[in-house]
Amino acid sequence: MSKIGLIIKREYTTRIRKKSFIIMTILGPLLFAGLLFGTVWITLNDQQTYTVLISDPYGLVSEYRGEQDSTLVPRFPDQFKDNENVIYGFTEKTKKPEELKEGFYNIMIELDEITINDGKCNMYFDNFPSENIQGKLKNDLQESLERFRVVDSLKLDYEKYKRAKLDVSFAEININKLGEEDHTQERAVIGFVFAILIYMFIFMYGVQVMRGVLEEKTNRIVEVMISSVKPFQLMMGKVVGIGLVGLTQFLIWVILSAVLATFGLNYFESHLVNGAAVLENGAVVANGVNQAAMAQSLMNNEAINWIFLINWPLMVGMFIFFFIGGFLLYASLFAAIGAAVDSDSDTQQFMLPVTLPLVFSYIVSAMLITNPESPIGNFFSIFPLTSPITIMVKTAIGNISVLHLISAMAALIVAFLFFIWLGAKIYRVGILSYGKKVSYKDLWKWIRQKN
Amino acid sequence: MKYAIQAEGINKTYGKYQALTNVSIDIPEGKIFGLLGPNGAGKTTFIRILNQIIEPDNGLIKFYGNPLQRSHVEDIGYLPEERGLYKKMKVGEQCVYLAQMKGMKEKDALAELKMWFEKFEIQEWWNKTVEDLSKGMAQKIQFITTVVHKPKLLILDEPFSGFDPINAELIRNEMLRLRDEGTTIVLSTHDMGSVESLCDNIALINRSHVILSGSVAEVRDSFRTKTYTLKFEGTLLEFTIALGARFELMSNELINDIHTVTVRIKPEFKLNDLLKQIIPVVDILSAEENVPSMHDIFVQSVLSFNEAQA
Repeated sequence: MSKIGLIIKREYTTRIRKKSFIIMTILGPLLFAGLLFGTVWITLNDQQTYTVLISDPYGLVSEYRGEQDSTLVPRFPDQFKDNENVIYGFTEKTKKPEELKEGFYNIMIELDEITINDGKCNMYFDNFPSENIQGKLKNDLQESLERFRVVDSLKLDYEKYKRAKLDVSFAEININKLGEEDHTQERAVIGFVFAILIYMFIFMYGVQVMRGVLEEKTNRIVEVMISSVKPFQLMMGKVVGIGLVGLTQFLIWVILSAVLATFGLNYFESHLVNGAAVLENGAVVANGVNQAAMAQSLMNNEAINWIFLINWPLMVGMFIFFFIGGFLLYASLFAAIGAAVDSDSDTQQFMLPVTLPLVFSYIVSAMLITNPESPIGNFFSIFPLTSPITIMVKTAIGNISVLHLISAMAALIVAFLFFIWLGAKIYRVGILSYGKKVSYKDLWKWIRQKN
Repeated sequence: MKYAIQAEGINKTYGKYQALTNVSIDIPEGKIFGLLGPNGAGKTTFIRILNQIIEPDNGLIKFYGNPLQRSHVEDIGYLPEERGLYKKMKVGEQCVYLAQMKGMKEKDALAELKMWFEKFEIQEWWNKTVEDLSKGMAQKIQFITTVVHKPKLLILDEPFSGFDPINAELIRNEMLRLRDEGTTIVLSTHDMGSVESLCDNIALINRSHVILSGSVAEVRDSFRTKTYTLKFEGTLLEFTIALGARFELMSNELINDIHTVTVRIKPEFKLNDLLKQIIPVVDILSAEENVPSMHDIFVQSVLSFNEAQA
């Protein structure tokens, strides 16, 4: 075996055998799946029950049950239905918000005479209700107030109004792909998941490269090593070895996740039907990863078809290419940092310029979910320091030309060759420099220094 | 004479800092060569150039007669001053790995290492991790990994630092044995005692220049002052008269009726001439030449070079 092969083998086997690797490899997908399904589950199973008092002095939405009965009920019996999370009550008095603390109710909604005109009302709460709950409350109020306006003020027949009423929604169709719905946002979310994976991978294993180099330096083994191999071989052996560890871990994750996902989907198919009612009413959660929409889509085979709109062979190919390219680029920078400093605590000052573009590309990727055609996204999916992460979202959406892809790949190849060269220049001087706090000026000197 | 290393006109600069200036050093084959010099003089730079860790700006290095090239790293064993091991790795595994780095096959490395582990009686360390070893134990392992591939040239930078006297003796004996078997050894050290007892030749580097080089005997010879220390019983007056003009009394001391004196002899005379003069007048107890120690030579050379530069 060649010497660089031996170095790769050592880096790989010592890490694969570590307890922490084995634990992370098994726990990783469990944690990830737990996180994903956990959030969906929590959204669907909001355990808390809210008792909601509607203060309605003008009788907009409530009325007495009968002449002798002083109990207030909804004006229209099919509205303000209680469920396991919300129990309604009505009053015609205006209550002081403080009274809420002692009483049965924990939310009070105050309708006043203007509410019927502008739809605005105060909601007093002790615990802020979830988006789902708020969605149901708004929905119930809106329908009821609407009915009041239609029937009482406009003297129209409500059934006729309902038939006349129309909800507008877009079926998104790209003119370049006529005949199919686009589902851009859902696809962007899938792309974002891939982007996060690359982001995590670069960070976790990039830092491992840095630690590994630093360890060799502080252990003082490095001078013995480079009396046998060239510094470049030692650096690349470490980068490749650790990269392979990451790929191994990733592959195991994919397999374990596939198994877990099969179980998970079965679970959701049998349990989600209950949650459907909540979702119907619940407002769509607009926090980047659109869990409600995803869960809804998962339940319904027709809705899940958009997954196949993604060009999967291209997606997987791009993923592997940018996964490896991005790692090589950043790992050589992390290796240079590890070589330049004497201790873990000194790494901070050099970490910032390396992590900044990484974090930035994460932000741009998240932005692309809501604004897929943004020109900023076009630029950052070619710019090699951000492309490995950002391009995954663009590829998933599919609004990317072949020229764009090729430019991004070419730019990445040029960039990682450049950064490996740059990293190696710093590395080869850094590993033999002890005891002096290194500045950016020193790094520049090292880059220009002959061997 | 055959040379393991012939370095000619080596210059090396780091930015504006001149680490080596026109350094020429010849290291004879099969000898122990002392590379001496104060801290920061350029010794480590020279050693790193021999190991091809760094390249000289110019100059030529021959390794056993051929220009130094990459494949020669497998013929060199290097124990740096700043040395260490992979802490989390098992001792045996690590030794095999480092031997493979020097081009050994795994099978050969195992056989050779077994021999060394038996010799040093450390077989039970094979499966320990390095972090469980004491400093002295780790140093033995480092020495083994430096010599396991039977290098033609062994470069040892302060090999004795951190060793207890027993282990230092062990290493010293191994060095002598390896030399007798034909290995050339470069010993870089501040310990002048080990230079005197081990080295056949030396070079002294100071402020990037070689300021002194040659065989230990030659170097010492050139620093001889022709002063002798004599002990005798008798009177100092008679002794002084007997010296005459050819011999100069440098110092004297009287303890328990025994005089200890230092006498300088003019270059054209010998100790015998002195003895002829004084034997009739005093009872001589001992007579000994004051040979300069390597320590004195080191200090004297460095100081006078620095003065000349200033």
